[in-house]
Amino acid sequence: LDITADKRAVSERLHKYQDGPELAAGKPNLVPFPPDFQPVPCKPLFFDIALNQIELPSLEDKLEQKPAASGITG
Amino acid sequence: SNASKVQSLYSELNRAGQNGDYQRALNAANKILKESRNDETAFHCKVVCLIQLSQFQHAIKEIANNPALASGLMFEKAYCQYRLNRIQDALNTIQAVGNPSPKLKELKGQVLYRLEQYKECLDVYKDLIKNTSDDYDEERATNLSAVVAALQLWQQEPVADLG
Repeated sequence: LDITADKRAVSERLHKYQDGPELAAGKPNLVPFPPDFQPVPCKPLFFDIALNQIELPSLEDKLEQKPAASGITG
Repeated sequence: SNASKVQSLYSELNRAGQNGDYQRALNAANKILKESRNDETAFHCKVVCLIQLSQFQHAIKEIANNPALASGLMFEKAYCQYRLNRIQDALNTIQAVGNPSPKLKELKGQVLYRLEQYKECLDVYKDLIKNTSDDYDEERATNLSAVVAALQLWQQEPVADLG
């Protein structure tokens, strides 16, 4: 075991056993705060094109019925 | 008479639909269904209106409750599942269709993207872009490049320049 004192925050030396009296002393250095910035890729644009294809069906045959025919088709 | 009533409701539905007034169109479709319960066209209109009004839960319930009327509405069904975040269900619905229409393929591309199946997704988009020509060519190319970016970024998959 490497027992030399490690000054890094606890979260960065979890793999290492270190009996740290400072942990019990009230001001433990648990995580670096504020955390460093990290670059992340941006979410690419992605379009919902399928929505544009949600359309009413053709109503032509429903509209073209001649009123005269309604007596027999009804 | 019943038939002329239905016909005038259809012309109201048609007018409202063309104006993008889907609430009004929905009301007309509901009235038609009251007159003739098994009118597939009116049912189709009703589902489209509900989707346009973002009532996906309601739309999918209607589809589930009327299997006979909804047999031709697999695209609409899958689209609702997609919007309700039931992405795997949406893919199952799409894959159950024997000869998928172009709009089903379009939706399949979006579903595969959400499922992070980027390789299959890329194939769908290549096919779509080759075989469609409409007002959404640019949006489709944007989606394609999102897929290519995802492949390279998350799956370290080199992709040929599709320029």
